[in-house]
Amino acid sequence: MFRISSLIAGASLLALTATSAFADKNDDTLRIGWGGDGVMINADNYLGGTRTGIWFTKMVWDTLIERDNATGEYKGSLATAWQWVDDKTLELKLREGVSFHNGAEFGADDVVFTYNTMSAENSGARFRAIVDWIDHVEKVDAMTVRIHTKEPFPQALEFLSGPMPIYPHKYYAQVGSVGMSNKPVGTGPYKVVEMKPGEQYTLVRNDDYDWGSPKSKAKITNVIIREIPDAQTQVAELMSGGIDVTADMSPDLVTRLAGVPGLEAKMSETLRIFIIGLDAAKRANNPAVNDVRVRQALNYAIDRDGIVKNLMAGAARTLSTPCHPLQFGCSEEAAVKYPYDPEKAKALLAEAGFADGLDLTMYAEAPAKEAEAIMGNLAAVGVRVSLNRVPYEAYRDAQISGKAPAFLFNWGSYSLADASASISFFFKGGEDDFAQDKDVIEWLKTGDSVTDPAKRKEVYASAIGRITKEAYWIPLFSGVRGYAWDADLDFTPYADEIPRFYEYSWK
Amino acid sequence: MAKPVQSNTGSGLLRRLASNAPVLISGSILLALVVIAVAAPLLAPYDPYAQDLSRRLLPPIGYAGHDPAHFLGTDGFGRDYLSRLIYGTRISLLIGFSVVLIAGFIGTTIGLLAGYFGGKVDQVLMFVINTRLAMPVFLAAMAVVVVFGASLTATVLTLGFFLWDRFAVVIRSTTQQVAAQDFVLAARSAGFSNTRILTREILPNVLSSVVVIATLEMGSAILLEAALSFLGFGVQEPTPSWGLMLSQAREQLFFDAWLIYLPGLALLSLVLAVNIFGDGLRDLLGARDRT
Amino acid sequence: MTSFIIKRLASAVLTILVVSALTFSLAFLAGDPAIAIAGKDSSAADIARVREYYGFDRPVVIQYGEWLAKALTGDFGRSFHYQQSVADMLASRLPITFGLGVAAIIFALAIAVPLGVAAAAKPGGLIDRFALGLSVLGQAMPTFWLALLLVVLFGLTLRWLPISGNATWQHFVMPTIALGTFALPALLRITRAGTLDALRSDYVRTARAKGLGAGKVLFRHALRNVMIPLVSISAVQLGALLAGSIVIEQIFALQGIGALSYDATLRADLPVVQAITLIVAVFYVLLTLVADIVNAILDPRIRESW
Repeated sequence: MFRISSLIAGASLLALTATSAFADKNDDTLRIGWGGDGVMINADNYLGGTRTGIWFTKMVWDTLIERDNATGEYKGSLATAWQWVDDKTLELKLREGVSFHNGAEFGADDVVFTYNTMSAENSGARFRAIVDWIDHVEKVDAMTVRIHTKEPFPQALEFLSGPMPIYPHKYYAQVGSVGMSNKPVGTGPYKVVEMKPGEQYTLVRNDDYDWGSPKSKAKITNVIIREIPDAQTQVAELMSGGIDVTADMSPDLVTRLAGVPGLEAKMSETLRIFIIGLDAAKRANNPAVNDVRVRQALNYAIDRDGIVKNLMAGAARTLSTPCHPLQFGCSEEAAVKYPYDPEKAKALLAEAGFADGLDLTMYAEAPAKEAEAIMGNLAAVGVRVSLNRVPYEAYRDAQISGKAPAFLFNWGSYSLADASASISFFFKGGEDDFAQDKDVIEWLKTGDSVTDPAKRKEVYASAIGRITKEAYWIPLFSGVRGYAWDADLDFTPYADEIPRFYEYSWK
Repeated sequence: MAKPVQSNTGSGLLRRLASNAPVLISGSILLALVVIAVAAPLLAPYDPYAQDLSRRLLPPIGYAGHDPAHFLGTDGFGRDYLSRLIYGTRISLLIGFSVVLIAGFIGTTIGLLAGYFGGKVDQVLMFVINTRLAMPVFLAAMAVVVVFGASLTATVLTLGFFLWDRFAVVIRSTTQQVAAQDFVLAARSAGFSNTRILTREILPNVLSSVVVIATLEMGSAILLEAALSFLGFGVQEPTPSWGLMLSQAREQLFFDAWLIYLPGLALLSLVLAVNIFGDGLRDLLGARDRT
Repeated sequence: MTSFIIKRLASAVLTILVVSALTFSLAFLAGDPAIAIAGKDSSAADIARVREYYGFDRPVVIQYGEWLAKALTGDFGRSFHYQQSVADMLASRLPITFGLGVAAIIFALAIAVPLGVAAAAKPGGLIDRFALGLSVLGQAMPTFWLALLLVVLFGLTLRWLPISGNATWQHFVMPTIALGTFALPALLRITRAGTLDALRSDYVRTARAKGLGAGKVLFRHALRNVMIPLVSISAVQLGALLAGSIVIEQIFALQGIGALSYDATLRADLPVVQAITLIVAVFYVLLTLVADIVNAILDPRIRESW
């Protein structure tokens, strides 16, 4: 047995060159392997709500507005112009001459239908927050719509450029969500050829995509997407030429893959943030975390720089804010900082009456690898963490039902570049707010409803100041996503965690 | 009154054991592994939980870049791999023994009662056994672990409460045979209580079967734990379980393959030793084949 | 005979009911299905809305009753997670797992039968030792570890076989070997033991005495003797392969029942977990039922014990 294994070991070292033997450049087909976060549930991503669903949506559908990734500027996509009629009414002019993949002409009816359907109370939309701000949408004429919001909603443009694709109204009304998922029809740069749910999706370039969309016309003719849940299987496929690109690589894998001839690999920071939430609202029966000194001590105890450097290949940033600094209104200056200082942590713990150490139950989602290093840090200051690493559903159950005094999690803000997508979700009262700080709630209510950007920045800064001073959370670091691709492919990752597959081309 | 059915006197058994090469070899390996497990704190060069993020993924001896301070290298958190493998022996054996203890108790009890009383009792217990057999163990184990949270204790209890079927089936038929023997009939007619007959007359005579099944089931239990941990439904970090180590290292398969080879080989050797020992024991004791 | 079959049938139905009730309550405890349906990153309010909408706040017994009533009409409901009909999902995934299972059994039989017979022909010989070694090794081999080694060897080093997916028959070769190795030891032992029995039996001795060739004797008589236990063990092994299939399908990205059951358990996708458990239970119960009835026909004493 030993001889066999050393044989395999020797042989596998020889194999560390990637082949594009079956490739890909020749038949102009981009083969994507994804699925590390779970397979795409439903191509109708209003109901599906998965990360890869967002990527798929970007390929097949369009939104009214598109945010330019480089400048952050909002550009007209299916809408060409927009203005606030009053603080609760947004009027949009729609683009002429756009048609869906099934030949239907795009117009006001499609916008009205899509948004009214999805924002309806029992639409089944997976994340209410995405559509919940819409009261109703009104057709003004064939190419003009008005969106009426429930409350003043300054983030509207960010949302409209986010996960809110426009569906062809007749088709969707006829086939419904399942029909749409099985045979998607959009306006986007790629048309769907075949869907094998949970297995493989085949797309072909939309050759009529030249109506002036800010998204480019697709450069590669064919796309085949395969759902591959295991990272090591993705790597094997990548190295043997079975796929050309994957986005599920760990920092360690990226480091190794970058050294493989014929492949390129890169870590890219994302909008996702990693946090340990603390139950400051006394939901769980653990008085320790109700003490601000303990919460501050925990903040001091964690060596964020060390973790980012060693476990995340230095690609992430350390975090002091309860939101991502790239988001609008997420001011790092406003945050109270807790640099790594184990002595201070011990002193604060002693002051709070835990000189002999503290037992802390922490819940984490199953794949949380960072938890290891964090537990190591906490152990060093005398905090004995018993970690419950459970599947997401069980984690969420424990958290909501108040069984978790501390919970390690990550938050992607639905890829929205506005601080409200994180702070307001978690600190504006309600069940997901474990601080229940009255001032913060008031500030956020203001910030989420005034349209003046300067005023918004000001109140979010106040909220960030209070949240970090009280140490309701332990902000850790931003997320990273590891991409690896065939060196023949011209590929660039983006900070919003959405690869633009239509932009990539063969070298 | 109690009379052994099998004529295995202690010394005779030992003599035969000593002359059976596979049993001897596997037994020695097993003994060595038990010693490693018990003496883990003395043998392991490092604390298996001690992280050093600046010394991650060091290769074992024989590879370029090997650090002599870590004979078998380090894992993704800079923990000494040899130390983790040594402590992993402890986890696997602990799980093997405890699962077999629980399962053996449940299964033997059911088997004894069903085999001895027969009739209605047997029918009901056979129904229980059949129901258990109709449940997909792995699926059920995953569900149970989700309910109680994944941990060492949950894994042991789950496997213990699921892996008793073989004990029950074999002990039931062995008991049926033993119960028909003259000395049991004599004890019955002498008016001894059922409890006394079961524990004093029958149990000693089915015990060798129990031991044989226990050894063989231990192998399955260890493998099942590894598979559950591999999928994230078993023992949790930072506990050094071999299955969990494999799970954590699997994405390094093509680059740091030793991370995969070592725990796998450890697992294979342990289960191999347990199984060969069990097979040998079965032949020696002449117990009934489990099939 | 009829009363035996009726009794046996009743017990089979009862078994299935108990198993399904147990899994229902277990899967129900396993996690709040509302969280699973609402999905990752959903707010607590989203979750509460789902819980009420699906009626998860009602007593488990009532929910089980509803499920059972529908299941009896062949309606397994919709997957919480995928929002698709469970029956459709199973229909599209069963062939993959079943095909893989059958292939693995055939692979195991193709090695076990000739090797087992040859081993029994000369007990203690070289082939016998090899067979014993193989069965012991197969029994101790962690399936998932073997699968990883196969990927390294055949997928990456030699590049003979595709690594993941189910597009062609080649995609099933590695999963088949990995799963087949799991099934091999039991089949090998049965073949060897059965052949040994047959060789010791009177009719084989007679056949030999009549001057029939060793090969003919082995394959005509011994194999016939082995056939019945072999078939029934194969069937039972096929059921047991589902467990192995969970890990194997995960590694080779095969979208069969194994991968589905893993996924569904993780996400507390109750209707899917329920349906899979039921199918496995029914499969097992049917197999044993048929075996029992066949045995009862052959051996009248069994009937009397019921």
